[in-house]
Amino acid sequence: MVEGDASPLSLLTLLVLVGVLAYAAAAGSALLHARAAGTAPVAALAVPARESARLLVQRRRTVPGADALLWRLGGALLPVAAALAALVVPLGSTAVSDLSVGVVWFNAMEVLAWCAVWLLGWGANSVWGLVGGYRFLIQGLSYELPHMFALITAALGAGSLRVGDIVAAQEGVWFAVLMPAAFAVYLVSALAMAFWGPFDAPVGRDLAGGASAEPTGVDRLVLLAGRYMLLAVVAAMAVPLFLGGGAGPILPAWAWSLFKTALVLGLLVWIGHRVPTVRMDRFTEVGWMVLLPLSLLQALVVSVLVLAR
Amino acid sequence: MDVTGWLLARARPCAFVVTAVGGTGARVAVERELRERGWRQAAAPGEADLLVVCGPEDAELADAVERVWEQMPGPRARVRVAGGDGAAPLLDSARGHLLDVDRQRRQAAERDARARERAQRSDGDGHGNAGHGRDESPGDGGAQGGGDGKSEGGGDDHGDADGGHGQGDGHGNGGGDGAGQDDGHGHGSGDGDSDDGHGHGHDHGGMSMPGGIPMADRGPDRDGLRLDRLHVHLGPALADWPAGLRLRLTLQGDVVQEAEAEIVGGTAVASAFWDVPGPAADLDSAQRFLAVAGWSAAAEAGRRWRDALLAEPGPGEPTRRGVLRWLRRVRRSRVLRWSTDGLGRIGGSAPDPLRGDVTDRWARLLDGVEAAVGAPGVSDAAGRDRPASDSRAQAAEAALDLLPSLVTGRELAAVRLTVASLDPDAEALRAHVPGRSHG
Repeated sequence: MVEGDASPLSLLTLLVLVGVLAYAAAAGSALLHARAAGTAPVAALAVPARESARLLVQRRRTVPGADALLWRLGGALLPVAAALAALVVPLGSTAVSDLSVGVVWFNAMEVLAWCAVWLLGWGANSVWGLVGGYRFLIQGLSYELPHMFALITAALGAGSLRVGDIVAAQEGVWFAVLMPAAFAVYLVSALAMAFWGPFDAPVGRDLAGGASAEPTGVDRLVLLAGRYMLLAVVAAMAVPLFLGGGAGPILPAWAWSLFKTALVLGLLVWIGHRVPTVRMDRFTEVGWMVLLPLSLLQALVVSVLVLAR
Repeated sequence: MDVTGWLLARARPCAFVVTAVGGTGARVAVERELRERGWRQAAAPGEADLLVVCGPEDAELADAVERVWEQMPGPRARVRVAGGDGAAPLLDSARGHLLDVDRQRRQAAERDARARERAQRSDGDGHGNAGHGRDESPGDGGAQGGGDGKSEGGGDDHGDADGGHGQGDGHGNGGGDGAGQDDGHGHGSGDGDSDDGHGHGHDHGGMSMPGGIPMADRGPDRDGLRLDRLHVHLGPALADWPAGLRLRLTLQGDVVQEAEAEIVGGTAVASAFWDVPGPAADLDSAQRFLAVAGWSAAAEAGRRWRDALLAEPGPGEPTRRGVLRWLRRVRRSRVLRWSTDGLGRIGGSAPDPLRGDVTDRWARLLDGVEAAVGAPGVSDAAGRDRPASDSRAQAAEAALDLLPSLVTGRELAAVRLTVASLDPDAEALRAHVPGRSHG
């Protein structure tokens, strides 16, 4: 297939790509919103840029009693976590760093999002932020285990934690076909991880913005950018894990990777607009009673397959 | 033009809308303008740059509005839209103020100077959080709310305390808006965090209070733990919240321990906007409910169809089809149903529109819209015979009575959904005070 044919992917290219995808996600979200509002959809393409302009001019605010260090750190951690997680995501066949424990690295970086949202909520010294932080912790407890099992199942199918090996193992059949339940669980947990709707309760409108209620100006810009980057990166990771990486006819591998990533990202953004927020106590139920057993069962089936092969 | 002005001119404004009792007409007009211009509606004052107050001047609301204004970071502008007419030019002029860089700079400098002054006054030893107070004055107790205004007690000058306080009590600090224990007892024990926490309060000396805000007190919770009690007001200045409603809550974590409901302001209101009922009133309640339920796309579409129905009392075919499509989509959402089933159940002798659980109530709203819009020709005539403003007032009164018992013991998400599904119309309530003539 495509092993080792492309030129190495530079860190800068990767960051630009993640940025472009994040912008596209934000613009797509604005587009869906404009369609619902019945206004011109073309104007929506500029909305993320205009919102950024606004936030760049807006003054930073401090809340009395806020733990400023933790608070600002929380927001800044999100884009950092997204960028670090992106390091192991291959474009075509090359990643910036194809670690031998790539899957574990990816998972570890994602988990930083927990830390980030909690710090953000806690540090602001606000009821809304605190409750938003609580909500994200509960959400994390519900999605993280199924998510880990989904990742492990993909690694199990390939017999390796290296993302490149997982892509190579899908030469015959994509893991999305071989292990559909793991793929579905991955997508659900991806939404929850980026606290994107229907799992946006931690930053819900009913909480006046929850964990994101208090940050203003650049703090808010970094937070929002980080969130979209995280969404883009988890969408991008679905491609090597479940959708055969850069495999596809005619087009070069990197183009297929990008195309598939855009599709998954589009799907995630669309779901966020199509489904209302799931209340946390209900999601906890589903997380533990449905997603977790499902992902375990899937892991079992794949293990048996691997042994039988 | 400098960079700031250039960026400002390109920025998309974001408005925080506060509605006074009697301001429904203005709110609807403002929301329509915002939607058509593609301006965003803020969920919290912190993200907003425009403060739009809808409805008549109201002394009781003024305090909440002032708090919201204090929380807006700037550049900022404010405008009052008294009635439905003239929302557009008022918003234009507010935008003009927003774009006036010199004026914004001057105001920001004044604000900083004031904050510094206050910081020096309240924080003689020059310590602590005052240093961060770039544009918020420290100890400005309301600063952390979503515009709801925090409880009163956390006022300005507790800031004399210093010294390392124990982080020991976990939640207390984070919740910090213990700002304002109206019940007066206790600023917790800053360092002690022992169980007798609220037994001794008051002596700030040597106790640390982050930002000059007293610590939360504690009480037993439903699981037999001793947790901090936070006193929080929801409303009247809160996004997607019924106009004029204030819910005084005592929270532990995000669970409500005690609740009181009241109407703020509107004593001079003599007529209700939804006096003549029709599908638009139900649609308005439904869109607010959907916004609270975290389905912004459906809420936005709901506002669009509400505005269309208000503009054309006998809706044309495209509007009718659009409304019906929207109704189908909302009804089909299993997630929405599953999220709201069993919440806030009301039975017995309550007025019809309130009966059942949250799901029943939003389904009834949608049914109302469908009945009025569904069959061509019948259109709006169906709803218009019954004197619905009286029944709206009755429903609002019953809802206010029931609210405290409905929300006690529930967590905040359930509280918001329950309130949105009841959507008490304070305007109808004020307009129909027994003994006052109206017409």
